[in-house]
Amino acid sequence: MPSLDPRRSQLVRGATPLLVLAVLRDRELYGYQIAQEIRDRSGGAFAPSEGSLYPTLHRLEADGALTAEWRDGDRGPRRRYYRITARGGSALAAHEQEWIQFSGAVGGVAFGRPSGG
Amino acid sequence: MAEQSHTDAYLERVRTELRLPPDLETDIVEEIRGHLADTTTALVDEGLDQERAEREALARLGAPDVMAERLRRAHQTRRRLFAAAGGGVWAAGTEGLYALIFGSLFLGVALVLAAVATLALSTVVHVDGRSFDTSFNTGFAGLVWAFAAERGGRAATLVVGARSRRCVGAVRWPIAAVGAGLLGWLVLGVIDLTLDWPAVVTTLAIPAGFALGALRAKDGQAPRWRAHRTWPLVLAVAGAIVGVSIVLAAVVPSAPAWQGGALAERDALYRFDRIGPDLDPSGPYPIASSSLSWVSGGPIFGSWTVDPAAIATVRDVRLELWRSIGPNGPIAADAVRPAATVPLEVVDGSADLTVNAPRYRDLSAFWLVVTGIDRAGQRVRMTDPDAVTAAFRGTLIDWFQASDTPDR
Repeated sequence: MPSLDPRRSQLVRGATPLLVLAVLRDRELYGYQIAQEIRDRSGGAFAPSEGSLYPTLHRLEADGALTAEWRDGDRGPRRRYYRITARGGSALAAHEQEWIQFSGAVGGVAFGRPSGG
Repeated sequence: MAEQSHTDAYLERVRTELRLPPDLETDIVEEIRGHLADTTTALVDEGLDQERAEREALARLGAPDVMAERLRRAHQTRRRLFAAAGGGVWAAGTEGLYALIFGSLFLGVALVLAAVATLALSTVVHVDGRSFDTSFNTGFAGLVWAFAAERGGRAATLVVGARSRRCVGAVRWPIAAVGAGLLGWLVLGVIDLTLDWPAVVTTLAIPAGFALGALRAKDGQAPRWRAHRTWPLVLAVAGAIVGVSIVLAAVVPSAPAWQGGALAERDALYRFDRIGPDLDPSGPYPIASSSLSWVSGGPIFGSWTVDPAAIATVRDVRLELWRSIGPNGPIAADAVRPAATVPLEVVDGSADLTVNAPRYRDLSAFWLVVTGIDRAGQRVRMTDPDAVTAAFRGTLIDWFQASDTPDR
């Protein structure tokens, strides 16, 4: 499990709430699984900083975007599973829209492509 | 003692720096411990030895202080703080009300038991009703309020701590200061109360009780209070009341009490020269009170109907206010002259006047007597000296600004 390029980590940091909500859209996961899921979905290109993953999860929970529940593991210790809420679903949709606009704008500036608006 | 592992040391540092409610700290530490275990296992599977895998897992989480601070900020949001403040006010109100109801019932039962015990003991030891000053009731009621405030302060602190995700130690002083300040402002300068010294002391105990409750709150306590072991406490309080009554009866000299009989005897007892002039002690009196009223914190309004023939035989007719011990109690032993006198001007067979009696701090109960000087030069009573009570009503600031009666 190689460590990520610091520049990528910097880029990913602001998008951590979006990434967390996105991987929780369809199922419940606990913290380590969330980090792995993001890494797997990105093809190993990036993963959220582990130091910011838990503060992000707890912030989203405080904001009502996630709920959490402790469950006993099959073999290991009990885990805290996170589930997206209706408010989290709305926040995810908003984050996605912002990201599309932002990435389009960045592409426009960097590569001369017109922004998708 | 086994050497502490890197993981344990890291998590201990996180816990120390979190400064969140203990239950929440435990959950967070357990969650991070699970994450570290998963990461370490994965790194070992990739070929690292246990020691290096553990160090790498910790390095990925970053400095424990930074991690703890981020987690604390995630929990201690401003939205939660505002919601917690509202919850704290609600908790203080409901818990205070609950404690007030319970405290009143508790005190009522204790007083009944004390009364029964006093009655039973009165055949054995010297104790009578007069040793139980009516101001005790005010004091007891005030203590119930102070108790309710203490419960309210405690509940507010626990609820604010839990809802704002702060440990109780971080919120107890601000809540004690704000709550006691607010209650202090209310009881000192806003709320009109019937006041005597016990009421003043116990009213001041209300903000103090709130502060005490807030400062005594501890992490892990339940916000809702439950009355446990009530009956032993009721009996203890009833016993204390009986004990105090017996001690007071033994050490406090009783004021003279008129036990019935001729009004002339009562006059002698209370230092009126005589009923007069030349009246039948059973009445009717030349001056009769037809109406008497007073307003909260304000003056007394009185109206007297006067027999012109009788009044013609006296001069210097005046209303006298004699400070008494409690409502319907005897004139105070140290009252050597009226607390206040007001000339009574008779116009067309009646007299109306206004007396500013409640402004005297120690004039919580008094006798109203109309007197005049007869031809022999003696001041004689012209009315039935009914005991009339009035109370000092006002704020505590009014109380502290008022003066005592000049009758001593």
